[in-house]
Amino acid sequence: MEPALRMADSPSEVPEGELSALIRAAGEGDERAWARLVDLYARRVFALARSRRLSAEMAEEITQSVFATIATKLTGGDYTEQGRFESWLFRVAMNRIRDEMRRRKRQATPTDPGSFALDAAPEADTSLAGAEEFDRLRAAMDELSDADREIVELRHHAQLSFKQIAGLLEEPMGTLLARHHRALKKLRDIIGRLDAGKGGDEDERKADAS
Amino acid sequence: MNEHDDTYEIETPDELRGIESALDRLGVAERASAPRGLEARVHRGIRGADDATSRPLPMHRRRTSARVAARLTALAALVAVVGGAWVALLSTNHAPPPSDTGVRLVSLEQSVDDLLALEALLDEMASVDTTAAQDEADEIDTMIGSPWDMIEKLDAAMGEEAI
Repeated sequence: MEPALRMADSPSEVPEGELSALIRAAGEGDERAWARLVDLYARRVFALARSRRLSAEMAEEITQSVFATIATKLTGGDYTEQGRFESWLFRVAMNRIRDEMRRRKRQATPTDPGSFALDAAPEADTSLAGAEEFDRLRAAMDELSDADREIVELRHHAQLSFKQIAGLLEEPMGTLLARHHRALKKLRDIIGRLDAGKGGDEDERKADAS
Repeated sequence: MNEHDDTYEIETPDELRGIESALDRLGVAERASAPRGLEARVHRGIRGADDATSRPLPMHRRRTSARVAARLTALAALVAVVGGAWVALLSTNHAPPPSDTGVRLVSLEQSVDDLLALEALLDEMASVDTTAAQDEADEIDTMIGSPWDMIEKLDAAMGEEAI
């Protein structure tokens, strides 16, 4: 991982006390505190939305909406800081994403298979190997149950700790860890199956050619 | 292993480290794919969310433009009717047979009556008091706000976003 990315992405760079002070200041309308909160979390919310293969525009719209909600509640005194800000923010984000996915399902009709198609995700990693790896991962994640997928996304896209995810999903830590491991195993198996299928197709093509 | 801040960090089995690392790389790529200026736009959006007075504006604009359009339509109709009446009046000055004069005068009088009735109708249409309906629409608009607000209210009602 590039050091620069780690600096921008790692939530651990904000100590708990500093985060609480930021949240208080933001609640009082401090512009710089808001700018810092947005810098810390906007991309993580965006990535969470993108993990469902939503377009960049829709992911940005969801990100905007999440922060508008957070701002309204923080400045309106509806939030009391108890060290659960990140869990709260990403719960709001998950609700927005679930709403959007439900809306898409409602609009899709069986006679219009094209309406199921989601937007292609962009490739930040432009190497062919990286792009292929990401395509396989996305395809495998599509086969996970929603519950398993959410854990994987909250962990790897939103960068939440297991403790935060457990709080957000209201599950015991042991259950959550077991589910995360099970989801990883499923992904590994699905990718193995996809690779085997791809290999089989290539063998068939070679056999046809010969 | 990944970079997560995790009090409950556990050792990932060797057999799953590969897939875990791949997911971390995908997460980094998705975050890096955010469009340029995302943070600035989100920040502007937060400031806009506080400006509650900006919401009724679209409704007001729609109402104003609808009024102007109705008045222009009424004016065009009035000009057309007056023009038609003027042409009819001129045509009566070109030596009509004496026997037709009475009939033409009655016809012209009828046209003028029609013109006045239409003008009154247009005036009435232009000055219809739609305040009550507009107030009602404003109320609905304020109540609904945006779909997100509606969802937010539902969420709040269901306690999904309980803090």
